[in-house]
Amino acid sequence: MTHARLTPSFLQISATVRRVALRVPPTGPAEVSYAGLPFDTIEDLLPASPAYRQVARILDPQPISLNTRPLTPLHKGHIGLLSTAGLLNGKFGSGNRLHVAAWKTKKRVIRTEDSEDEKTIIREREQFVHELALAFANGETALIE
Amino acid sequence: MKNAHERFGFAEFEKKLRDTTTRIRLTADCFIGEKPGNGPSVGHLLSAFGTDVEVAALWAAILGEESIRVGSQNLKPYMVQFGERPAVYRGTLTLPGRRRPVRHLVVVSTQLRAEGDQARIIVKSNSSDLILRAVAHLHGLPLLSDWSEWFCARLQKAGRVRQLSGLNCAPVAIQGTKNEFLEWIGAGLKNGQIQIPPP
Repeated sequence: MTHARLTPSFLQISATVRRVALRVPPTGPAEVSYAGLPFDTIEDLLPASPAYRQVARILDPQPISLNTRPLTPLHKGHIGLLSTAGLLNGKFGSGNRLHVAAWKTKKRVIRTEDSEDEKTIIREREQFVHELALAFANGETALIE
Repeated sequence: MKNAHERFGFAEFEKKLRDTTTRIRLTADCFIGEKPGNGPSVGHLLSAFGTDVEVAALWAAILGEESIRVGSQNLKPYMVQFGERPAVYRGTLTLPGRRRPVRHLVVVSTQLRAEGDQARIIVKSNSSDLILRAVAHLHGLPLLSDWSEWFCARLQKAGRVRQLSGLNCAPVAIQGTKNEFLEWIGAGLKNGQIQIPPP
């Protein structure tokens, strides 16, 4: 039967049969949906991400500025702590002694080797060093440890 | 902002086991890399996001010193490694209308953290302000923000600035030691190229 349908004679007969119009009903506008990540929203949220907040100090270092008056007069210990924390960086002095100061704390490793009974003992001692770099208005510079 | 997909790139890696190959691909929004003349390419910063599993896989790959392929529309893909002891930071982004949050991962190399060789600093952008702030912060130098243009011009003149490859940033590497820069500041003040305004 299937074979008979495909013969040319059958096709001629079928061509004479009245054509029936099959209308496709209209549909609404096509909807395009996206199931992936919303990139635009993510891009707006990324700068506030906790991961970026942790690396902000590395990627965009900001100078520390402290413009407040202490409640009590500072003693030597306070000044030492503030200077090494970089809170006393900036311009100081006047006239010929006008200068810019910048403090920096560095870690230094002191390595010692001792030989005892055919054995070598390596000792490493970590030390924090406070370094002050100065640039005076007359062009003098200094690096004090 | 719209059309973020045009700005984003990708970070992917392949893990080949005996009879299977797994490929993990994340979307990257920021990257700093370097292609040295000889030797493998080095990555300094990578910020990528994806699902929980994807981010965990990339985190493991980076700590395992695997090579990561990074690229975008404007950056030809290439393989990078983040070297020894990179710092990896993770965060979560909660998106409105989505049940599962998006995980965010930022990888920072030892060199970008300036823990290794202090004579070379990597800065995310080539803006003069950021270069001055980065050099002053990392070296502890007496530099004022008004001197940024002079300092960048001095760096360029001495050939100490090298462009690096980046995604959504224009990174540069600054070569120089603290003593050298301090000498430059002294000479600049002496010649009158820069001045210290009174406090």
